Formats: sequence, structure tokens, C-alpha cells
Amino acid sequence: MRFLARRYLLISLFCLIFSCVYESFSHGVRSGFMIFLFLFPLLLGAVPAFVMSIAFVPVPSAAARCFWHAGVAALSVGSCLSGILEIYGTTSPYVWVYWVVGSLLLLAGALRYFLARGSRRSGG
Amino acid sequence: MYAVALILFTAYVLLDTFVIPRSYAAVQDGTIQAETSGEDEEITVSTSGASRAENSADDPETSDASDTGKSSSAAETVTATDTSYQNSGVSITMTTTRYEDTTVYVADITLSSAEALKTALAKDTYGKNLTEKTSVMAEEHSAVLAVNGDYYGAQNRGYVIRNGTLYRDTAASSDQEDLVIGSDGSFSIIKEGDVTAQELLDEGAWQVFSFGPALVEDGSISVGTDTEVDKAKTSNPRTAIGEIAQLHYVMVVADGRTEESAGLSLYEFAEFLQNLGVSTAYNLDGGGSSTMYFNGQVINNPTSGGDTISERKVSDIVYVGV
Repeated sequence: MRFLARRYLLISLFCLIFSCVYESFSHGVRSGFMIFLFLFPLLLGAVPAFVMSIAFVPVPSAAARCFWHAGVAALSVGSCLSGILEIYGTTSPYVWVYWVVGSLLLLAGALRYFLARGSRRSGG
Repeated sequence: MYAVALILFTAYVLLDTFVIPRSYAAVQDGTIQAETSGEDEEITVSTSGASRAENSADDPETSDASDTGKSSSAAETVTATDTSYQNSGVSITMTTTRYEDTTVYVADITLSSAEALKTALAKDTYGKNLTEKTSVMAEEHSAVLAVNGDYYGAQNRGYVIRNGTLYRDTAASSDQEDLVIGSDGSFSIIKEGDVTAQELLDEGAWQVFSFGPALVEDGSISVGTDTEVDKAKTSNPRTAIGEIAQLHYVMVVADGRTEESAGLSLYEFAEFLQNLGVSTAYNLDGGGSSTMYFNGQVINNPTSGGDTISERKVSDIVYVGV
């Protein structure tokens, strides 16, 4: 999990640099979606992975991790896209898809993890 | 597989937002026919009762002129210089001033008929990603003076009424401030939460712009020092239109994003307009869109593509026709 935490940390750093560069060319137009883009991989990826690595809790299954990663990716891309559109001064009727799909994937990953933990406890 | 789907979907969203052109029908089909027929400028909007013919000023010759090339009078005298234009119905005086390290272009306009203050859509079609340069649209419509409009095509919401035709009746938000130009040429500011587009049309709205905010209302500045379009907190190129008195207007464009011109904040822009004596002034699309065309040429320094001096294609213009 520490490896995963480091990987998410690198992605967060990339997002931070990307948003800084993008904002520097936006002529003062600010977007919270762009400024706080790095928080998605940081808070939903690096922090949980690091906590799991030191808290000695069961490692999520491959399926649970897959759902979770997909959710973080959807939310991060959605935030980046929302920032680009907001800075340009336009909107898209499709942005909600990222938030809904991303949230559902996170929920699926979390459910998969906690249900597996529950069944292991009841089985043990 | 998921990554591919995410990339493809994102690519489609970007193409849909910025590239793929789409034309939409107006809310009122009957008025579209009147708009596109081009036979007579005296368009009557059946459902609203608003008609430019009813509101023409005293000069019948001038009010008969249209952008289809009809001349109000064969013997009409036109006086045009680099800084002025005058005929029997239109008087325009251009001035260029420096304000807050920014070059500001002011067109002082006096009309004898509200008919001469017009709008045009890119490619004469209402839609999304349909754009043309301000100067191209101005030439197509024989405009003497033109500035960029509200770039309605960048938004999916916000009232759009142009030349008496209702194109979009979905409100952007209840607080969205719109500029309403009545069929008599009078300016007023409304909030989209307070009135529907149909009600505006019924009350005689001829043009409605949904960008904003209102800069000056009743002669007083209506923006705060920290008010900005979206989240912009810095100086930028700006475009505004204001009413000084009945049929007496100003169109103002401020340069920005260049070494020569820093650009203005909305408050600075509002202050400038207030000093011009406007009773109502409204902020139109700015940034790289800010363009002023006069007597056949672009007179400001548009900064499309960051800080490069080039003219951006926009959805619509406001212009003075002859």
C-alpha cells in the first residue's frame, strides 16, 4: 500500500503542477475545480493508502481497488475538465457524468471492501 | 478498457463544447421566418406585439434604412473620417483615451432611430460553436461600428433575444443580470430570476444580453471593487455598452493583456463608464473577445490566444448599421 500511496502522491504532484501552469495562463480567471484538482488523488488516493499501510487493516481486494481507482480517475478528470470550462467561461451538459460515475465507482469500491471485511469477520 | 472509455468520453465532451457546430431553432418559429426572410426590416413579432416600426423616431427616411443595403435617400450625405461618422440618422464620434495604464476606445453614438442599433449572429444562425470574427460579421451587415456581443454560444443557459426573436428562454441563474434593449432603444437591467424571457418579449424587449454584470444603473456604479466575471480578479480587456440618454449611447472597449495596456477591473471599467455620463452600462464578453470595429477596420488590439494580438471569432455582435 505504501507503493500505491507514493504513486498517488506523484499523481497529486502532477495535478498540482498542471493546475499551477494552467492558472498562470488564465489571465487571472480562477477556478476552484482547477486549483483544488490535486486534492482528489491526494485525499482519495494517497491518504487512504498511507493510512492502510500503517494501520494494519486488511488490504482491499483487486476488484475493490479497481473500482476505487476508476472513481478517483473519473472525479479527477471531471474536476480538471470543469476547471478548464470554468476558466474559459463556458459550460457543458455532460460534466455531471464525471461526478455521478466517479461517486458511484467510489461507492462500489468502498462497498466491495467493507462487505468483504464483514464476510471475513463473520466467516472467521 | 475503462481508461479508453474515459479518454474517449472526455474527448467528445471537449469537441462538443469547443468544436462541433450545432444550429438550434428559436423558441418562436414564426419570428425566425421573419428574421431570415430579409425582405423588410420592420419585423413584427406576432406574440410580443413589439415592432420597430412602432418605435421609429421622427425621421421617416432614416427609419426606412436597413442592413440589406437599402439607402434611405439617394442624396443622403455621409461624412466619414478616421474618428467620426455622420449621416442623417447616425452620428458616431470615436475617442481613444488612456485610463489606468490602459487604452480605452469610446464610440459616442447618437441615433435618430432605435432601428440603427442592431445585433447579428455569426453565420446568421443561432447555435453552438458557430463563430465569426467581429469584423467579418460587421462587414457582412454593412456595419459602421460594431463590438462583440455576449458570446451566447459559450453558454447553454441564459436568455437570448435578438432583433425581437426569442432564441433561448432558459435562465442561467436567478441572479443573472441581463441587459434588455427595448424596441424604443431604451436600456434596462433585469435579473433572470425575476422575469421570464417570454415576459420580456411580450413587454417589448428587442435585444437581451446575458453576460454582465451591470456596471452602472441609474447613474450609479453597481459593481463592487471585488466584483468580477466568474473568478477573475485581475485586469482584463473589456467590452461594454451604455446608454447616456434616449438614443444616445456609448460602446466602449478597453485593451488589456499587453505591455501597452494592463486592462481594467470591472470596477475601474464601471468608473470609466460613469464618468462618460451613462445612466445604464452593461459588461459584455471581454478578454480575448473584446473587439471594436469602426469604418472598415478593427481599431483596438484584441488579444486572442493569450496575449497575441489577433481577433477572436465570437458568437454575436452589437452594431450600428446604416
